Amino acid sequence: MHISQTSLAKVILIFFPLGFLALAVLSISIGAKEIPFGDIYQSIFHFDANQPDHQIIIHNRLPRALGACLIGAFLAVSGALMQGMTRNYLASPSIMGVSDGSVFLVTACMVLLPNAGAFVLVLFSLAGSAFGVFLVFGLGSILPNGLTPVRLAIIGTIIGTFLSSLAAALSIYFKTNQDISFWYNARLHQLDPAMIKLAVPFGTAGLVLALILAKPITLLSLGDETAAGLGENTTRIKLLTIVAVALLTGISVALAGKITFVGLLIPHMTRYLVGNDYRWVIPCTAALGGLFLILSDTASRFLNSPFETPISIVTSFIGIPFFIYLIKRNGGKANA
Amino acid sequence: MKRIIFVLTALMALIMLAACGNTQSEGKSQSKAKEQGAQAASEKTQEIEHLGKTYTVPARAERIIIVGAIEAMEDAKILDVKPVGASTTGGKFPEAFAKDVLKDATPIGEKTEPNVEAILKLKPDVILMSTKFPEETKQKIEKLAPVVPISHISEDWKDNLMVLAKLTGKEDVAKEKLQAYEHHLTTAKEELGANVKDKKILTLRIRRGDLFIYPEDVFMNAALYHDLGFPALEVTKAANAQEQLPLEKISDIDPDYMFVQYETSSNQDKANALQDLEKNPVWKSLKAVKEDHVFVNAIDPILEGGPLYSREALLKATVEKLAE
Repeated sequence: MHISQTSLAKVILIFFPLGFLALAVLSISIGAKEIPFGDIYQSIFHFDANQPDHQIIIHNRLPRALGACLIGAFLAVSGALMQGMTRNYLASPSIMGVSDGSVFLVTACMVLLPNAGAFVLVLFSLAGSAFGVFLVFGLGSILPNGLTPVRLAIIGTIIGTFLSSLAAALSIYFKTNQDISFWYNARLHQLDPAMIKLAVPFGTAGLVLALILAKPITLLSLGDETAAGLGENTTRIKLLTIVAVALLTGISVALAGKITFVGLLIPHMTRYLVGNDYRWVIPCTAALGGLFLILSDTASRFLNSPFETPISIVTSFIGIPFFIYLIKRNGGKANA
Repeated sequence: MKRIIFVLTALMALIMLAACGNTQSEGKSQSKAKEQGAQAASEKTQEIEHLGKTYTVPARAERIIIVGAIEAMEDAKILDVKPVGASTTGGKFPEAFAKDVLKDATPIGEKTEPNVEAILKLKPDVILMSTKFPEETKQKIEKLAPVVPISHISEDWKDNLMVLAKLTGKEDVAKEKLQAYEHHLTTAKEELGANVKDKKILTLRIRRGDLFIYPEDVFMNAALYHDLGFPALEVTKAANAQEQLPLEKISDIDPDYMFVQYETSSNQDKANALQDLEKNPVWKSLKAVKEDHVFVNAIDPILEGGPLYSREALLKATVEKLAE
């Protein structure tokens, strides 16, 4: 039996709301405290602030499920955009200077404006992500052939290391170590509903931009010359892609710290499943990324119950075996 | 283009080299350590039984260095011993010790990263080293001078205290102080009365915005559960090491009293993890929070909870707080 990749993409998109609902219900009904299903229903439709269980559902589990889905989607799309634009199967926020740029500016912000609130830090995180990517791609475009996959990866790594060294130096000199590591700790379990509301406009803007860019990125992924020959303004597309990546990654890092693997893994999985047309890849990778992170987050409560397990351990635990299975099934076909 | 990449790579290489510099210089200093070890051996020594092992140490240790073990600093405070060197926390000595025990001590690096050269410079007779360190760090430090391990398990508190007493010839003082504690404990139990038996008491530590609990015999738990007789909680029994506790689990336990230890970083203004927690509706719905039975930093948060000094402080705080 063989299903075409496009119809597989449609299946993923059609079943996404169903999958989201199922996983969200699972995620909301399972936790360290046993809460009867009736109470969960009650807390959502007849919220009573005096009931601790209702507070747990509304203030803790619901934002966690929603936030995990959003962040999973943001990171996965961000990774897909980078991989498509650079034709580099290693591209992900962590090697392109995005996260490091964010670390650098957030550190600087903590040093310069010690009393900055959450919103200011979010803005700095966004600006930092953009700064990191611009630096990497700026350098890449000045240097001849700088945008080829390997060179770009080298430049990204160098700039990334440089920025994070600067950040480390700043934080050691001004003794802000603990706050910085707190900011970058993966912390899905501390998602604040107010922060999620704050993140939605930025994230939506990033997702919409990604969808608009889907077609030109498909062409870019065939090579710069091909894309230019087909009438695309490659520089403009790249700039817009960088903006989208900075928005999506910056907001995810600001919401829940660094969560590894989603940005690298999910786009690969998606392309294995639905092919290389980014008009399908972008929405599907968002759907799969969202579902993947809810699932991982739910699993993180089981592994060492009743204690928490860091989410990155779980994303690798679930992600790697599935990834290997996909590689094996596809016979290692180059799908970068 | 190649030149720019070359320059950038060279820059990175330089940074890396600088980072490796520490390990390279250690090789040279190790031979020095051996010479010093030989010198020390010619002086009078004693054999000390400690935690099931025998250690050969100077008969009277004059130059003691504390590596990573806050427990040893607390014991030094009890016995009025002044080490020549000790680890720092966040770049300086903890406030609780800076003014007395460590007034004349020299910093030997951060709590988790002892600096071999700084230790050597101080020519220690004996090094008191936390058992928290990984094996390779232990081996490195053992080459510098005789090392006596200081257990981070609260249950070993008396051994930790006695080993320092033996090293400094203050065994009488130590025994006296231990007896005094037993006495204080009896009084405290009388004051608290029989109702401790059915009170749920939870100890938490806030680190990087997360909530952590510890096993039954670690942290403040040993004093509260074993000495004072509060019943140990299920989660505490389930914890094998420091474990991250979800907030909703605390809601599930709904303790009567909570001791929250919160280490603020160097800059007070930025440390707002506790404020965030206090705004959290789930936290606000806890019984202990509503009844104002949450005691933040009842004892200095740098204290380990296990040593005699912590126990005395905790005893006092518990009686005071629960009487309110």
